Amino acid sequence: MSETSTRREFLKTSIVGACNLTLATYSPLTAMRQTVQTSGVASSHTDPPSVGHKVLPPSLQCVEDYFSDIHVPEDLFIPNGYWENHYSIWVVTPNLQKLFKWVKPATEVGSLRIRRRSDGKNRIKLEVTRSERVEGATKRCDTNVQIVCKWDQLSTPMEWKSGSRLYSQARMIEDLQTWTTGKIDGEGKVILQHRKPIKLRRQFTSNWSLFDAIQRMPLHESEPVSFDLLDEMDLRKPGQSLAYRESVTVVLGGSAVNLHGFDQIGKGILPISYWVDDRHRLIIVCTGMCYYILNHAQ
Amino acid sequence: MSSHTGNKSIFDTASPRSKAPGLIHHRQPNLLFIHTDEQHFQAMSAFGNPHVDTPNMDRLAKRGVAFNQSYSANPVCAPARSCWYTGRTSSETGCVTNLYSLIVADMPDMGQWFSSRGYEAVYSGKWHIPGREAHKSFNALIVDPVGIGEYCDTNISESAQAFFHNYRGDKPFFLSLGFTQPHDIILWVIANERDIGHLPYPSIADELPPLPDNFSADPRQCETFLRYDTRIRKGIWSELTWRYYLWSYYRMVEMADAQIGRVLDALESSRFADNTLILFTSDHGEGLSRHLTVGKDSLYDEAARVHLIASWPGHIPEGIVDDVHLVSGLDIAPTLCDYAGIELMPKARGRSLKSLMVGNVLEWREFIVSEVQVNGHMIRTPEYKFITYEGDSTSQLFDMRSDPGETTNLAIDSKYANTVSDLRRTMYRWERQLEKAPLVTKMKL
Repeated sequence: MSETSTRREFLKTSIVGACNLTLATYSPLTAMRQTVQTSGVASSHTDPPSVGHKVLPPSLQCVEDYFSDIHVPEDLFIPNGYWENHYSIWVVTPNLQKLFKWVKPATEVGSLRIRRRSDGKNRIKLEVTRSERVEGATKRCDTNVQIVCKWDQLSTPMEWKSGSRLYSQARMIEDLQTWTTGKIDGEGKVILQHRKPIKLRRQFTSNWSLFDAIQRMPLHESEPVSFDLLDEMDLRKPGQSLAYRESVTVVLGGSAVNLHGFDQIGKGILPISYWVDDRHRLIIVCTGMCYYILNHAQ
Repeated sequence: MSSHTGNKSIFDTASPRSKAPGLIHHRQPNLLFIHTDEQHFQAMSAFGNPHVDTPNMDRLAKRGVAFNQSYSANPVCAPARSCWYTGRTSSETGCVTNLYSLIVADMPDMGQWFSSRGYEAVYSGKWHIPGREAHKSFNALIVDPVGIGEYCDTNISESAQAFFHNYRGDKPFFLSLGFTQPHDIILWVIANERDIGHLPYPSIADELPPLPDNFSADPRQCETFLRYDTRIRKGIWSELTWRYYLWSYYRMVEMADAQIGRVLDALESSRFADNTLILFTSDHGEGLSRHLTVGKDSLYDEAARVHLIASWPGHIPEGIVDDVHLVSGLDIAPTLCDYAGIELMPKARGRSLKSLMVGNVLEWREFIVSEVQVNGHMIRTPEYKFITYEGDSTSQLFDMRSDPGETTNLAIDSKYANTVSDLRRTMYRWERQLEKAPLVTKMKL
């Protein structure tokens, strides 16, 4: 066999890249269609909605198959008071399993706990604890953030401590732990330890603050809120806008739940969707391919 | 930040791997190699793209030299990375596809090379070189995390931040940081196999980028290109969906930019700020609707051409855009070796860019060659690009000065027969010197 033939045979018998959407012997679109037909898996991404059935927004469509596992607590929830919410963190990759059968459509990768209380001085204290798998099953990153915020529309951060620790085989790697502090100076600049000051618009907030602020937003259409985002407490992402989207009724954990959605659009993020229930508790957050799903069973 | 606790460091300079014969200590620069994944060469605001905002990547361009005629040695993830780290072509590394071809076992990589010559070689992020584990060549912090940039890139930048703060070794370091974004666009395309119908976020309607001029260009294609056609959304997506795809892609680029900003800020706040050379590039580009393509895996500029920026204030000129010299992913290893003052890696096929950066070059190469899909080859001269696949009857020739969008295939015009012959001959002369690896695969799934 000539070298050219050998190389073409090699190409035919190996998948040309996990990531480049082509399969060796037939078109990927055909492959996707065939997989759906043979597996019997119905997905809202391939089946058109039946007549009269309201189409869910994309951020909810992707996790519709898991609604039965989401249980909304029935206890009293006071968004302006003390609360503690636990979330499972998922990465969701719609349709990927049609190309690579070993890939799960959704994988749980971590957990998030947010605790909120007021300090009696018209300020809010948020405590965030996040734990995520970062390298297969062997490494984990734990992040802890403590933020003092203004009790305003966006829970604007005033000062904070933020740190992360990396664990390998459950042992912390000392050299890779980070801690930093930050605060807002009199001119509205973000002053970070060991970093240059960051200038933000007068109205700004952090991604963690939004987990609180969204629970105090009116559950109806109103004027969009514009702000700059301090993502992960140090990544500047300007030009954000947050607005009410719509309300839908879904069945979560066997019970009908009204969900009220808000969309955040801006630089440096894919659209983020927040879904709160009638009690204003934040149930689902979709940041693109990552989901935070309320899970008080943790 | 907390200080080093005194426990045994993962950067222990007393480890056997760190012993180096003939070590030159004094003021060897630190080397920071930052790479994104699947970044189109025009996806940066510094180069005039109004649809993306990349202040941190722009910062590097303003403080360094941007090589705008830079090409991936093989525009697919694993092959491109094997070329970076060995300085050899993918047909020599053996890593010619993403999943099933393995790098030659005894071919040295930069991690091994630098760490045996007095450097602390450290890696964090996407590695993706089948047949070679990063931790056997580098001090690996986080390697090949969950392959979603939106999820894992922040851990990568934080690990770099921690490294700059905590590294106490007296060896210079070579730190390679692999961000996954904007590679998430591939998952986005898979998730959106159908036309979206209507915009899910109506408020962004005015922000959707327009389609490029060569969106529907269809120059006579090579047969192998057609067989593994990356135009999988052709005829399926409406213009609206294509533009929403572009908009989403640029947000992913911005995500990567924010992470790079954290890294640069951390470096500038550290004791290494004045003595660190930064190279910034991407393994390959992204179709971005050019020629109706998505993804990479072709030799069109959208997939094969990438940015390459070098920055070292005080040592490299600043704010220079080099639109003239052809450079390649094969040049990464020679450049880093040159600045480190260590010998070149064996049989490296590229050239050090140092002479270009200091304006001290009398003669530069007349062409570069890239490979793809086992049997695809491209030769690029200042004027032309010639693409051919072994065994195909159709080749492509583009006049890159008058037709940068690669819309008209001149190879089918007999007027260019001599040009095609000359380029083919040059390419074959280049190929003949290569020591091609046997094609070794992992078990097929």
